[in-house]
Amino acid sequence: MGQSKPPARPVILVVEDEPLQRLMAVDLVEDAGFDVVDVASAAEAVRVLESRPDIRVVFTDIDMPGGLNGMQFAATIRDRWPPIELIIVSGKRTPGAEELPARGVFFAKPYKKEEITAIMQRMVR
Amino acid sequence: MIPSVVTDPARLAALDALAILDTPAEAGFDDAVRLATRLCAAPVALVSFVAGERQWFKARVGFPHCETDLNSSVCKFVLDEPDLLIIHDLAVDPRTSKNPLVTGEPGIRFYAGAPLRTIEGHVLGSLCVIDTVPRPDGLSPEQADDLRALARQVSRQLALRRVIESRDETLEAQEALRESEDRFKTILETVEDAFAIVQVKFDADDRPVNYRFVEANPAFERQAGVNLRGKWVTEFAPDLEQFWFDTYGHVAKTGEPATFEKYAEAFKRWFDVRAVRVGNPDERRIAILFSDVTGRKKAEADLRASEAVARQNVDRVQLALAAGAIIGTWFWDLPTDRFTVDEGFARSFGLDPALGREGIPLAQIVATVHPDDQAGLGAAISNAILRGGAYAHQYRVRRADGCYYWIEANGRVDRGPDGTPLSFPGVLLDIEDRRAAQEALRESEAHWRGLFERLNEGFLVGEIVRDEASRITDWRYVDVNAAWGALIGFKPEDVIGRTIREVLPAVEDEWIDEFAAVVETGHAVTFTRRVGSLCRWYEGRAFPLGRERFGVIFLEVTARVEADVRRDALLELGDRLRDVADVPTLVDAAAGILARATDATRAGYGLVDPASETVEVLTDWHAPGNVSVSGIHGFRSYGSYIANLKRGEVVAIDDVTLDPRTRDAAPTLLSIGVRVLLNVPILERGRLVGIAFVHWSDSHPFTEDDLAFVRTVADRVQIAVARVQAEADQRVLNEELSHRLKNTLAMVISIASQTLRTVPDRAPVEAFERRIHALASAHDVLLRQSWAAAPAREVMRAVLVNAGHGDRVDVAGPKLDLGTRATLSLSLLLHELATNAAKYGALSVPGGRVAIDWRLEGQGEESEVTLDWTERGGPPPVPPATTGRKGFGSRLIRLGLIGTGGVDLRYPASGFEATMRAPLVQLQHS
Repeated sequence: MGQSKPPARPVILVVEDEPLQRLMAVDLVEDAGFDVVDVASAAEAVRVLESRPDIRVVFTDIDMPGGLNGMQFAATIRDRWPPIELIIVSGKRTPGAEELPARGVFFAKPYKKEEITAIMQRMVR
Repeated sequence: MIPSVVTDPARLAALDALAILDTPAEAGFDDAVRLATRLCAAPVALVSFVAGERQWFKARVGFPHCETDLNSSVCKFVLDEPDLLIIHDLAVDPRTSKNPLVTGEPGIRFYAGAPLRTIEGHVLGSLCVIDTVPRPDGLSPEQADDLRALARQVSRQLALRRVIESRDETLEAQEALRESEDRFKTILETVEDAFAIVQVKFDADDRPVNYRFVEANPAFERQAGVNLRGKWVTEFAPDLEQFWFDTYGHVAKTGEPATFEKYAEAFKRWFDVRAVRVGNPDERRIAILFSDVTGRKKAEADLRASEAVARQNVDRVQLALAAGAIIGTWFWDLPTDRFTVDEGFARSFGLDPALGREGIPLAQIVATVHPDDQAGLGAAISNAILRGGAYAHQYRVRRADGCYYWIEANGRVDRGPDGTPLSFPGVLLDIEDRRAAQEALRESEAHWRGLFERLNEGFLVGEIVRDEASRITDWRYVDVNAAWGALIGFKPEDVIGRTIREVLPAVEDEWIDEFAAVVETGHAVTFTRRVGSLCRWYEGRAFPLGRERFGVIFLEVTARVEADVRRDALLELGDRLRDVADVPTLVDAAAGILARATDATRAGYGLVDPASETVEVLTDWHAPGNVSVSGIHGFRSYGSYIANLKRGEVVAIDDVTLDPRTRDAAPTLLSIGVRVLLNVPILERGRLVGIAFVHWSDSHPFTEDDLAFVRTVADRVQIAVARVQAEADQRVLNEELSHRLKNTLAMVISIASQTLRTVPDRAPVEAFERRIHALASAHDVLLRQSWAAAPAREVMRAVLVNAGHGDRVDVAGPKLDLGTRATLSLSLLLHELATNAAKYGALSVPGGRVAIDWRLEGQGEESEVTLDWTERGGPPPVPPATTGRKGFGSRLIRLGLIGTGGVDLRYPASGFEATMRAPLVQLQHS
């Protein structure tokens, strides 16, 4: 006899060191109808991924200070958690296809919310 | 009251270094103040710099003056603030209540300023917003954050100015290059050879008729005796032979160099001349390098004359002998010592002919012989008797007139069967003429020898050496003069009788083959050639002297030839350095040129880290058989001369085994093929940053010219390295700035989306975001072009694709580059037009299309660009209402291509049309 839980919504991990942009990314994810976990560094993100198996998509900035840079972080996710989808954003030059991890999708900053929303919805379908 | 930080010298110096005061407005700063007024809803916003006695505004909205005195400044109080300075009511605050702008016009009441802080932490001024009513609540937290973010963006714009400053440093480097060219000119001015650049004048039929001296070095003027600059040659040599005009004219026209020796009647001198064309062929300028060889020519002529006299004298003696000038005979019976002589003999000896017929003893004959010659005669006679056979002796005899005459006695001693000398018959020859001729020959030889020894030119007489097959394989020194010794570096007495291959075993074959050809063909040759083992260049003339001999008269021209080599090397270096864009290639090119011009075995350029006392050689040039030294080296492993380098002194070490600075490290140096080394320090602001090095594996004499040349090359390399590095730094900074700018735009969108989250009408919010995206796409195009001009077509494609209409807009027009300002304004403008078309126009229905066409009209400064936006296939357009406040979008459209209007909007039934015009120069202005 249990209370029926609502069906679990897909969970998206937002990694962004700049607080304002993180806030906006969180809004974007929620507005798109997903659950969100947000962290400010790659190291925290790895800890979250180690403790939560329900993350479907990682949405990460790659210009972050300290430790792993964003590209290495993305490659780590691809190695350790192959099913997770990756959305990568940066204010720097667009990376070449050979630099991106497999199935990784890149957007230059400032990105358009509707484009990100569309790709997220496609990824979790 | 003025805070003390205002006059802080370090702060003022930082402001000064930025060189921003009193500069024209710039879009980046203007954008910032516009955004500030909007974000903080204030009528006034300023980018203010606080100088020692005034504040000056780089950008302003809503404020009439471009500067004020410090009395009227509120911004000066921001300098002490860690964060925002907010004064809710300026009329109440004790710091500002007396401020003339508060008490009088325009009556400001509210102030919020964010410090503009440099990377070093100096606050140079503020980004502030001002209101004319007090604001008890100040700024909202969002507004405060926005103001801070904008101030950071302005500070970054200031950092961008440093990049521009580094561009100025590149210009300074070019100035230094000019200076180094001056130094090269100094070398030209100090060489001994005459050098001039002349411009050849041609008449209407393109025949050369005169030439004018554009440049002449001091040696040229010394030889000419007048200051030639600017003069036509006919001014001081009106009768100059046409040959000179023709020859120089040919060089000037065709660019074929000329080398020749020529006597100029107008100057009564011989010249050895080299002429090459320089500069733009149309200028018809040539460089002339010449030396006065009159002295050498005269010496050659004198020598030939002297040889001829000697040969004639010998011939004359032979003729005299052939004529058989026998003047008497004698018969001497040895056992009885009786001379019987004929009349001629008696007369020659001043004797009574009658006595001669009877016979007289030797003692009586000898009595009339010259006292100086008697002992020699006695010895010759005794010797002949003792030895037997032929006898010949010359001596003087007094005749009846009391004078002495030279004679030659020719006789023969006959012996008996037992070997006893029996008789001594003979004849007398009159050799007075022969002796006189010999005397003349001796005098001639003495004259010749004196001349030969006094010559400054080296002189040698050589005799060829042949092998069994009669091929010439070598030649022998027959005679050399004192100058020869000085020029070659051997003692004359040590080489006479030896061959050149014995004296200089490594000598080049040309030194044998060419002189062999002189002997075999009988034709003189001139030469300019190097003896490698001596590291010296010689120039001279070789001419035949009889059957197997030749003479050579020459000068050492090492300095001149090396100056030529260095000049060519510097020209080549200039060409190479201009084209090269990366440091290793550049250094490699320079090192190769350096080494070849100095005949070194290795050369290169190294970057020095003075703290660790190491030098990093990126790449070097090395002769075959020598190892590279590229890599990082500790100076102390190779001796103790780094102290000299740090003081900026050139280190020239003739022999690493002898110099006290390298003696102990000599085995290490020799193991990498360094016996002689030259290091030229390269200093920047007194700090050692690099060295140019040249190595020789064997001994090599240094000259001042070597040092000056190496220094010049090093200077140029340093300048070029600085240029390449400045360019690289600029690229990195450009990318960094762009990255920050895009992040900032992302921030602006975040701020807007947070701030406007609860606004129910989403349309304006989305319009705002799309405009920011349009701006970002323009910046993206500019980044790809390194913030220089961007191609118009690319700018348009980027903004249309960004707006989502890339496939429905046709873009056509000639190639056109836009400046940064026009790139931004055109992007925003097209974004608005595309947005409108999508809402109401051609792009609002599936079949509609838009055409963008532009064209250039007019020439040069007058050129104007006309751009048409034509919509087709959409619903009939509706002209906007003419009353009421216009939206931001339509105001943007009315601003036109460069923000100054020039827009014509039309609404025919076929579809909306816009025509925009702007002068090309303004579109391309950055």
